[in-house]
Amino acid sequence: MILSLLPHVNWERMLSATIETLYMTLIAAFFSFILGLLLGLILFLTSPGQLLENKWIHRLFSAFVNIFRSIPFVILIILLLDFTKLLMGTMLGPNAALPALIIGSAPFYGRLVEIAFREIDKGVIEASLSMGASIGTIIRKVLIPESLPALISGITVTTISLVGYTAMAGVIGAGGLGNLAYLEGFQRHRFDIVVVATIIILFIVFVIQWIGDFWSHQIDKR
Amino acid sequence: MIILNKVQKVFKADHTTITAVNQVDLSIKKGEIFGIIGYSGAGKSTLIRMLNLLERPTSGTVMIDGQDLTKISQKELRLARQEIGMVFQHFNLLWSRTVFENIAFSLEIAGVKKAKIQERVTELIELVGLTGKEHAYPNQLSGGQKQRVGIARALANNPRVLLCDEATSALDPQTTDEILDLLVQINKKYQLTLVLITHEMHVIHKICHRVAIMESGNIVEQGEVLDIFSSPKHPVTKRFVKQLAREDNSLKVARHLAQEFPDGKVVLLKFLKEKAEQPFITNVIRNFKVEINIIQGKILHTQEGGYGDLYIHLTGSEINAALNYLTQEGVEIEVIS
Repeated sequence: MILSLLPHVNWERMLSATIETLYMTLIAAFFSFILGLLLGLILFLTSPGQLLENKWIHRLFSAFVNIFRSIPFVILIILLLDFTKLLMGTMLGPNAALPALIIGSAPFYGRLVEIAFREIDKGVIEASLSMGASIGTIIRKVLIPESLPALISGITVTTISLVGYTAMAGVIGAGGLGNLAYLEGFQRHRFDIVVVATIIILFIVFVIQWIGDFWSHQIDKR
Repeated sequence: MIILNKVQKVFKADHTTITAVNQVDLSIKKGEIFGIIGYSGAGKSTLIRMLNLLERPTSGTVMIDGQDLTKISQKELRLARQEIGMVFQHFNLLWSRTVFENIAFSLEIAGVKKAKIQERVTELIELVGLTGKEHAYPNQLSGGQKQRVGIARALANNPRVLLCDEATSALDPQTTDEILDLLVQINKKYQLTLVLITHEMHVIHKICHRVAIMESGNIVEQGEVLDIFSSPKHPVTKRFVKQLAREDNSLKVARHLAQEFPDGKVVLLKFLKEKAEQPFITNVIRNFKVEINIIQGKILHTQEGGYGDLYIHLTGSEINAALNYLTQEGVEIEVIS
């Protein structure tokens, strides 16, 4: 009955597009997490009054993060076309979208990581220093565990914005639900495809948010 | 033994310089409880942080058991810090770790083996009286319990010195006394040197052996707690002593009484150490023809003994003889009227 309202939907293609979207989102989220964590650490540790205070390194990384956060994603993809081709050997398909997705979202997550670290009580870091902890120990045993709920809600937000980015990347040829909705739905006036793709994207977003909230609450003992 | 030699800390901020600690010389003996008292901004917090180099002195040296902390490498400093425990006003526990894990943290930093950590932490939890709370998280504990975790954590690596940064200032009076008792117990049990800063005279008189009074970066007076209490010299010291003695009020009452009873004398007797525990008043009444009316009195106990103030109103025929007797016995007398 419901299916008859959606005459143009090819469920097999819908499924493979969904898998492509999930693939792009999760791989990009993973690398954004690693790179963002590094960026956030550098931003935090080099900021004034912190353990590795360094004005110039802080300014350099801060500028880098701000620039890549400010470029609209669609333009970023175009700017990175040559780089992508060099790195991945192609400009089409889900893999080709990854460099732009990661470069677009890692700086964003980096800022969230920096904010998360800033929320940690300075006294706790001071106490760790008074016990003779090295910077490495403080990163592993204080900064990351103490800010983990914020790090998780940060990666949740980042992953959700990545779902949106994959749709934009899809329009330019990266595959996934965005690609399907645009090429087969919008351009061929088959709006039932657009609607179904949208519902699936919404569903993915809700699930990511739900997992993130649950996990973050689970470990928060404050 | 801790020796500070001409220690100075200058903060620079936007074209102005602030001297937080100014050329301080200090020596703290092994096994004593040394208190540093001062109002906010006196520089005491900066001073105690220079004892483990959380603040690096602008100039001067910090010697602990013959090692000059200002001259050693970062790595050596980290090792030295493992032997200097520190307890904080706001506890500074890791919320993501249980009581057990918080105490284990300082052992992990020192690279202690897992089995040994288990054993040591259990021992420490018993020492600070937190048995049964091992698996609680800090937010499930009261302030006093949190501070006990802080103390256990600071003691984990058998430090030579324990620094207490306003360790009781965030606690209610009852809990403050419990924590102070614990600190004294630890000091006696391990012959551990304790350095504490506070703005509460109560803390000093209750547990310290010696005290230094700080004002605007300088130590203005220092000595045995009992001496400082019985004869404060610097105005700031006098203000702190008044926190406890409320001398002003007693004096007012005494003067008022002196006016009301024009015959006889109103005197203030000051007792020190063992004299605070002898029955002088009984002796005076038995041996001299005087009547004594007690106006107001107070005895305070410190680590080195008690000391007391007693305002009395004397009438009768042998007032002078009675006062002579007291003077001979070593009681200090101040005649109010």
